Amino acid sequence: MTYLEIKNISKKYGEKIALKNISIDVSRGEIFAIAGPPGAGKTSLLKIIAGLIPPDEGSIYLEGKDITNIPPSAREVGMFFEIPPVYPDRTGFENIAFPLRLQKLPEDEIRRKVYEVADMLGIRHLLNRTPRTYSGGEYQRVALARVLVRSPKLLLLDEPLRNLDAKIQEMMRSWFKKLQRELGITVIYATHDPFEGMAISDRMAVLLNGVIKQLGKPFEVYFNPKTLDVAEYVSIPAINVFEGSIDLTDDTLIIKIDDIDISKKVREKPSFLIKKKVLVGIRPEDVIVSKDPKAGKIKGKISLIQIFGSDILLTIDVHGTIIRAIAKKGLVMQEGEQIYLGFNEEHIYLFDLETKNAIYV
Amino acid sequence: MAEVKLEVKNLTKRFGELVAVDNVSFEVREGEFFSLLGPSGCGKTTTLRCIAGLEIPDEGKIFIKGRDVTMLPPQQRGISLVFQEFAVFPHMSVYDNLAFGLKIRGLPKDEIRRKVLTIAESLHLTDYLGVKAGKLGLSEQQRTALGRSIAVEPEVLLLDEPLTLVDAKVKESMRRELRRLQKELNITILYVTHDQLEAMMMSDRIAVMNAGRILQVGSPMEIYENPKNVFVAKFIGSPTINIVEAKLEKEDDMLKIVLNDVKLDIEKKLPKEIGEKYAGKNILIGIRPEDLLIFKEKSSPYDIKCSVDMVELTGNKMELHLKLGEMSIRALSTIRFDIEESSEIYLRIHPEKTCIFDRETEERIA
Repeated sequence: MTYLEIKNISKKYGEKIALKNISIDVSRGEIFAIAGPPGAGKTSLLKIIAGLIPPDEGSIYLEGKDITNIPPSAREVGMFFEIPPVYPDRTGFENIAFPLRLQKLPEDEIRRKVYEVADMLGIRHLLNRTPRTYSGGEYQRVALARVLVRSPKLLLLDEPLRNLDAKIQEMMRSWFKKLQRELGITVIYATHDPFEGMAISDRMAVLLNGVIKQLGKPFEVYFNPKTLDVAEYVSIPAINVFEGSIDLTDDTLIIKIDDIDISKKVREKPSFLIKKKVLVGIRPEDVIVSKDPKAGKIKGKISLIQIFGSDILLTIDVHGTIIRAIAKKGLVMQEGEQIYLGFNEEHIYLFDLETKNAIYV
Repeated sequence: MAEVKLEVKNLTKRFGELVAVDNVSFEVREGEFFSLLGPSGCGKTTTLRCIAGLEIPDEGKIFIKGRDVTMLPPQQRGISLVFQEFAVFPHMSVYDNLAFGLKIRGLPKDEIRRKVLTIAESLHLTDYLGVKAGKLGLSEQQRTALGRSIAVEPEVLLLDEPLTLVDAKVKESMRRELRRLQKELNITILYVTHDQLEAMMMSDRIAVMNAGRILQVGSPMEIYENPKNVFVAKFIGSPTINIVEAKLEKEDDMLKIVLNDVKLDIEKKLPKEIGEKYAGKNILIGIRPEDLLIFKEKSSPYDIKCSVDMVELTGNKMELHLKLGEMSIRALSTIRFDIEESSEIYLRIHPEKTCIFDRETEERIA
């Protein structure tokens, strides 16, 4: 059942279109990510949902009720910003209690609620200290407690990890997701980082230049991108994109990129593709590298070796064409060395040269 | 071996009671990309500021190309410093951006011109010299910013988290570009970052710091595969290495790790004298998430039953959060298969791929 419905929301700032006809349905208890580069319109959308700015067009429904014109304080929506405001000189307790004091709740109810949320987030030990003494992760938890203490029906998180150390980001991401699972709260999570969006969410929308380009489960978006810009956005390290043309035999596509021929088996014969010029997208992880000439027909020279997380990222020069590839640790290589390439044909993506829409065959 | 460009010797810097940098020593050689890596507050930026001449150390010496610069003002040290942002002056042309530092130094006009043209050529910026830097694409902007900082021909380029403010997507390509240019132009770089992925991608060597001290210096691969202690093991690598407590037992004269009723053969991994010393005691085992094997069904006596707590998808990989009794274990799998949260799963540990640490000192023992 739809819990939050965002319907045909549009927003302009002067002449600049910030959001164009945005529609999203979110179910109760779902964690939904809005992923897009800086300036895509993520924060505008969250602010519209929170009621901090009005949309030009469209409506927002929460539990079936139109809240588009309801003031923020009456929406029961909690918003958590990139740099959450916390009073540095007040204790954790007073910071968390603050929104309840504004509501003029009785003191014993305030105490009960603050302790309840503090236990939920595992921050009881921070209640008597001031934020000056907190680490980055502790600061975020107290700030989140301040939002959660009002028991919002919907939690909006805007880049909650952006200002944290890389290591703490990783820890907090999993912590957020676990907490969301435990509380069953409905969350909209905005991030510029596609991997963060994929990791944390049940479903996600890729927002580019104010338009939702694709909406679905993370693995659908990642493995079946609908357009080139979605494929480029969700791929880190950057996807290789080449211009190529297509030839067809009975059951095999031959994709020609400069001097390189790649074949890909197809089930049906997509005759409309014959001689067509296309853009070919191949992720570095789908480039297979080996020192054995039998493993790949394409010969290249390694121009750069970089360790990338648990893998190795290679920049390879194939007669002037640069191809990025992921290799497993353990393969001993040196810069300047010759290497042989093949491709995982299941994940070779084709895009129309003009529309940049994906062509699946 | 290349010449030593920068030598930091027994550097100590205190702020009141706090020892920000505690007896730190290291060397950076010509053409080397050297990173100081550690969490916020570990002393990496203070170390860099001492080298740049923005802080006077309490103890220790700093040599640049063999010259003691410890007490010299910043501009006499032969260094260039870029911090927080690899920025250009957007309203100035690329030419003026590149010439900026040279003009401040009062160099004659024709010499400035000659130097700017040389730099522009090596950075493939010749065609853009008349263009306002703010109008350039990101790659050209980065090259312009780098060009500006190396136009004054520093012995060492000091970079303090220059990519912090850049978003995740752009960061990855900038790291590739910066590393390529640094190698091509043979620039000596001292780089400060909290981001291990960044340090791992670009550095020839990394010094891992914590609480004012250097814990380990080595190539990215060395510190990844052979961390000296639990802190380094946990700080390097993403997702974070699993550290689990287990008992080392001697059975029929064979050493075994006992982990939740499963006994793992550790004979090959552990030198005999260390095994003798730790037999019957508890140890810490470090195992990287990507080195754990995952099975849907039990297929060997070494398989350990776990339950799936949570699944996170990151690109073509799955990060599995597993529960093994009270312990949380993370596994990284590239093979995609359907896993339901709270279902059961089996994991297998290869003893050869583990690191073993002393439970008290957290130092590596094997």
